[in-house]
Amino acid sequence: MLLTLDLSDPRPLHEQVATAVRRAIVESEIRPGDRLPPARDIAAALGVNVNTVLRALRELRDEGLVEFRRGRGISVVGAPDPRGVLLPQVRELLDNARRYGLQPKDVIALIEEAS
Amino acid sequence: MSFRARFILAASAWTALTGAAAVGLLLFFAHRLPDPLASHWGPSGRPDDSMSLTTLVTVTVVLMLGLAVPCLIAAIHGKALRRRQSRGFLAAAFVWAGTFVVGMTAITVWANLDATTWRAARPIHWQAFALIAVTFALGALGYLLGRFGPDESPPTAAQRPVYTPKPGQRATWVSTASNRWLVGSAYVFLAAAIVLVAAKVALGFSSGLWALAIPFTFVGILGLALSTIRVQVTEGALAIAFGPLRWPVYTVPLAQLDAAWSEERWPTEVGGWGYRGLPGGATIMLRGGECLVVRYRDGGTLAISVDDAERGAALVNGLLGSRTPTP
Repeated sequence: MLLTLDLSDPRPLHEQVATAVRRAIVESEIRPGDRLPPARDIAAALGVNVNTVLRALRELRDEGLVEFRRGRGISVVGAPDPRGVLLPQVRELLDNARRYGLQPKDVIALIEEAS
Repeated sequence: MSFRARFILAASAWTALTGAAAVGLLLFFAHRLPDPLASHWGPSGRPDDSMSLTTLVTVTVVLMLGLAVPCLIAAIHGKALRRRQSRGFLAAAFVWAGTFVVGMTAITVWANLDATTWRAARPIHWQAFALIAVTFALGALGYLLGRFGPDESPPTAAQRPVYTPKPGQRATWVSTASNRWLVGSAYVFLAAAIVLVAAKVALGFSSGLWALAIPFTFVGILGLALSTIRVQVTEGALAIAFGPLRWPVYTVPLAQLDAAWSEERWPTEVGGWGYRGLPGGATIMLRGGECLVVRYRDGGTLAISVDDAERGAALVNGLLGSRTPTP
């Protein structure tokens, strides 16, 4: 599994690890039913504490991406639907924008400016 | 007809011909052989065991098949024929097996020829050594013969996968491989060693068998060490960690490497499981299939059976990328 970390990422380490593993799942590098490398191997490769990796993997479990099975390790359940993940965030963004008097088209302009 | 089909056809024909020659020898001289005939000679050179002719014919056929069928399976199933090296070994095995069976039969017939009973058969001394020497020499010729023909070449620089991390990004690759059968048999050996020691210590088991505990422990530990591995590629090095404890770790600095790619290899091609081959051309074989192959700057290669090898190879190539790769 290829894991990439951004050196300038200010987020807590466990979130960065979760992002790295999530990316591998989203981009179908690991398919549903495949097993992830054991947490201690991911930790060794990234040079982080195994508890950090376990915390990240628990986040992914709560998102429904992976499942923990006793004696069988951690396996991928399914790839997340990016629309399903992003849609609530977009709604929240639009609600916030309305509070400042911005229309959806203004938000689109903002997004284009930021990207 | 493809090269592979021709090889398999030739090997089958050779097996059938040598088998028929051995059986034919026995049947052709049957009227001049005692029945039962001498089939085994002791260290003194005197015959010390006998067999009926029918049994000897059966044993010859079974021996021939026992030697040739595993080679044929290796030739048909794996990719052993594609690579010059493994094809050479297979050809050597075929030539050795055929000539050994025919030679052994010829010596048996010669020794028994015109003897009244099997005990009167001629003694065998140097003939046995000559048989071993000649068949091994012919096997070596077979090796050279098998090397003729195409060889699978490693992918060129353009064919190799490359993954270059973006600036400001740290990329690592980690993957594992394990073999449940190896884990299981390693535990069986360790359990057997414990039982033997316990029998000796607790029950006063008098037989010297308990000394087997030492090799059993050794085999068990070695088996465990080679039953599961973790392979990781980080900015500085490729690291292979063995066994359930992920220790020992074998580290290759990336500076020593020249290129990487993924390749399918099978235990039938590399000669079994575990560490196979010699340094400079070795395979760490846990299970057949995808292997990460790295080439050293001095030209040697190391292959490791591991899942997701293509991506690992891509990262190695990407991290080596700033250097000019050799084709």
